[in-house]
Amino acid sequence: MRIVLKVAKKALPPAFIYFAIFLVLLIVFSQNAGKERETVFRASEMNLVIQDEDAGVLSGALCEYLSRDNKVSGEMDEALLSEMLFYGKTDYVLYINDGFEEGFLAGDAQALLERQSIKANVAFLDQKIELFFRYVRAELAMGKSMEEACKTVLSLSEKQTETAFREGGERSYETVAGYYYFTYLSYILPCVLIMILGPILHAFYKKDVKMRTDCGTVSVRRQNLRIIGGISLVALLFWGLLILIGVLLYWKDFTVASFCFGAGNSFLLLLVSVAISSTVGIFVKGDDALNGASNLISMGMAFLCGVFVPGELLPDYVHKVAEFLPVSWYMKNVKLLFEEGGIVENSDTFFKNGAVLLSFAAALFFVALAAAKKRKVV
Amino acid sequence: MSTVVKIENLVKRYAELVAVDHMNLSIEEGEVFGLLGPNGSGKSTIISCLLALTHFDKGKITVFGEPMRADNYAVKGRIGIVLQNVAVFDELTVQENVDYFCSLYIKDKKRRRALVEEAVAFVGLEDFVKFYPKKLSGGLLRRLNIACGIAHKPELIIFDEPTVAVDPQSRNKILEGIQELNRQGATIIYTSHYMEEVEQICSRIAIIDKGQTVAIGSKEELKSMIQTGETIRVEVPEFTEEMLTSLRRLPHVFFAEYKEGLATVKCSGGRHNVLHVLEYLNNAGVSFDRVFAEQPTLNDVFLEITGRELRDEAR
Amino acid sequence: MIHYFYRVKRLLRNRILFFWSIVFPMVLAAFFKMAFSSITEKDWAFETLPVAVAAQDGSERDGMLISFLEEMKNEDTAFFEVIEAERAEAEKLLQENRVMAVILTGEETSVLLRENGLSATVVKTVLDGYLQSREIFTDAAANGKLAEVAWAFATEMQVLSIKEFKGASKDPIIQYFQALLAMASLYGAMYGLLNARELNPGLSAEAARRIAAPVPRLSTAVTDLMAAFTIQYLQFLILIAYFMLILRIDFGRISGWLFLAGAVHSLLGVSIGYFIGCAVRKKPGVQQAVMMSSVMLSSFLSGLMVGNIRIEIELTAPWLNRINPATLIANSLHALCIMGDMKQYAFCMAGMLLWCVMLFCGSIAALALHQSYERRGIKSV
Repeated sequence: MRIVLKVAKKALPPAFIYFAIFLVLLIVFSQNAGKERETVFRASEMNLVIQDEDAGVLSGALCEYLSRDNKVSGEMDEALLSEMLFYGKTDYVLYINDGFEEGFLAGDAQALLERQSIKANVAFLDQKIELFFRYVRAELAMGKSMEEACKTVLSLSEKQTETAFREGGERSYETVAGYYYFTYLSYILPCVLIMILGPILHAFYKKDVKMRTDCGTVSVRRQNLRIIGGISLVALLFWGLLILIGVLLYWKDFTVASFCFGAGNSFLLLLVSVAISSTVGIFVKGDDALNGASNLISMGMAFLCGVFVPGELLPDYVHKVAEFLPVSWYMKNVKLLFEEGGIVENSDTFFKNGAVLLSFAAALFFVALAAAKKRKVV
Repeated sequence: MSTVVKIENLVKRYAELVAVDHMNLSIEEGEVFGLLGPNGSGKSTIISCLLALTHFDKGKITVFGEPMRADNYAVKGRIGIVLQNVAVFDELTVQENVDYFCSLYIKDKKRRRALVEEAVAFVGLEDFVKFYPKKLSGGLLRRLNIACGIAHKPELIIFDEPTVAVDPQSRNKILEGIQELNRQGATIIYTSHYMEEVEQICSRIAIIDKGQTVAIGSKEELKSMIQTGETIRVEVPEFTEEMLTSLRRLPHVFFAEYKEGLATVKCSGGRHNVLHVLEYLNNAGVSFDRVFAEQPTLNDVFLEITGRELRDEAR
Repeated sequence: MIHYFYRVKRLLRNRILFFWSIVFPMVLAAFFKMAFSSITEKDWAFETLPVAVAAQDGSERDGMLISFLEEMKNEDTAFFEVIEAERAEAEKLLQENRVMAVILTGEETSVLLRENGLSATVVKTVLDGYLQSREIFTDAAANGKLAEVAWAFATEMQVLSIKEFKGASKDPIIQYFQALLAMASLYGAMYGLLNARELNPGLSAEAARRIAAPVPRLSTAVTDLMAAFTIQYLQFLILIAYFMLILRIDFGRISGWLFLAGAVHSLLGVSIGYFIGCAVRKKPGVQQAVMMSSVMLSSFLSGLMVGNIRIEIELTAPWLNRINPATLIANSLHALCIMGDMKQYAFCMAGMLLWCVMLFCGSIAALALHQSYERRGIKSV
């Protein structure tokens, strides 16, 4: 057992890097928690930036008009603004150029009011703005001054359509920080376990050591039990550490039930990860190669199973591919627990997904065993 | 004969550890000069200083009559090195490795090709030129390591423990090779903690301990430095203190003892010592079993000077 | 020259290095491609929304509203697909998710929605507009100014003009590939690390042999650097070609400057490894761990795993974006190929070159420090 820990200790420094990345991910993302995720279309507020050079009565009214339903930020550096648009932090930029109000009154506002966006779905804002000017024009036509016209239009815009949700309609759940914790757990578990468990397996199955232990007084059966025990110990220690971090950082975000089921779900993933690590450890030799395999497998699954990129945004064929990857089943359960109403509403599906995870673990263990037998290492 | 290497008052410290302590050495052209000492005695440090791989604290090193400095390329070009650790590139074949290291010394392509071929043949790797080092056995790898160090026909070749962890067959081949290089005109510096090897090939030997030269000379000279000329052991079932006193009175004998059925007699030089001892035993009517007579080894030299064994756990 | 070729051969034939510098980025890129291929389409596309219109009990069909809805267009694409139905039928359509809203006409127009979201916002905004227009007409009729208002509404005057986004690509997914390229460039550190190991006699036997030879150390260092740079640059070209020709990723505007940028990226990667090799005088495993962690952390901060991290950092701690090597690499590509912002590009390039100079000086300083330690008798290896 001491050997196991010794070998595991050697693999710790590189594994620590990924652990650090995991923590940074957590900290960055839990700040977003509580707000809705931008990638999920629940946002009805658009992020607007208005660059108002004219600063007249009309432009002021327009700003107010738009800020009623949207988040409007003021002046911004042009280069930064381009970046904000590109990265989707800003949806819509409105440039009100100098002399706009005069141009508007003269009936020629050509190129005095411009908008910029990279999204096609902001067209309704264009309509909204055009409509605003139509109202103003109508009020002016009725003989009002600009100030009066603007005031009327602004009060007019308070008139709104009544809305209602269909029965059993709106389901909107806030994303808690704990959601991110359990999400990124599915990246870090296989990543680190492959890196740590691989060398342990290698150490045991190195030819000479293998021969020496075979000649020793310990039976093959007990040896295997020892290896399995050692691996389980390391895996459990690591999992325990992660769960501890979850408790320390995010306890307030969880209900006891959601945390327990989340932890249970992650334990199933732990089994799968140990199985993956064993399989990889038997097929892949050398620490460098192991490091590579660990990155490929954990990152690959994370991307395809909607860990880094929300699942709703993945193309359908990726979803189909992901059905064959354990992490996607884990993620389904995380969503059930934290996005889709919790365990009470979804207990059947939760346990079904859990069973799928368990069978993944079993299948992978068999692969590992078969491979080990074939390579005559067990 | 001219002096190839002259080391004067060399001092090299690592923290509190004085690795080389006021070392003086002078190596003549055509010698196979042995540096013998236990592990950690400072042999490799001396070599590092000699090659200007590390700085030293005090002293002066002259090679081929010129002070040795890191940028003295003319001198460096005349030296070849074969180090303890195999220093070849795994990604290059045998041929490429030898060619690469040779190219650091020899610019002319044609000449280099001939030299590489010669070096490969010299170490007997002709059949392996296209092999990668990973495919070579330990002994072959050592030979490649040597080929890389000698391909450019250096006048001074430094072997730093080239036979560590090498099987006896390959070791003999390596030692013969070193002697052959010497016959071809190269001066050799050979460091080792295996005294048999040093005794076998070196014409002059410096025994190093704790960074100091404890003795220097040919192996005969070294052995003559110590009192012991010959050690005679006789298996005797019984022996009295009186007999021991008589033995001590024999010519050349300076030490005699009896322990567990073995009488040990140490003689300082002289001839017919065994005969004298056996004659005495015969006359005294002592029955004896087997008799051993041993010439002193370098280990005895080391033991007598430092009070410690040279042999250590290695080998 | 021969030293250079042997060095290239030696570095090129190393399988581990080959995996990390070429295979890993390629496979990761393929994953990215699969995962991201339809994000922007799903996310930002303008979609025609199906809505049902039903008259409230005891009300007439509101023909004006229906034609108002049907005429709403965005560059020839209709906003709505209007389905007229009885109220019960319309609600059933909503229940079955076949329409996203039911608009009930009558005395007061109201809307029945399925869920919150942008589509709901669009419907409501349009309906608000209709409601407010009607209000104005009612108001005008009351004041006897109907003709003026009708004139104002009839005048086709487009006030808003569209300013095209100057970027060559509107697809922010490209940031993942930029970050990937940055990571691949930084993996050049492995070559630098190896170079450093094999030129420090304290670190490897190969180094002792090379230093003992009559070739100036600086000349060997430069040869090694050139060899590593060559391979790294080659790798950059292969990856760019793979991204554009095989994965068909729109990298933006491609110009000669891109190839200059690639050269600086390669140099930066190799320099980082060289510095680590000189400064961290430990076993190869430890050196590699230090290198990998630096590279992965740097890449992470440039958006390799989580997109938009660059803009988040830009808003909270912009200095980090100015100094993080991977971000400098990714941003130089972004500025050049996407934004066409040569000022920003030059800024990133200068930043990277400054890094190279600092790393180079740092390497020399680390070596000098090591030698002085050695001279003072502190064993650092």
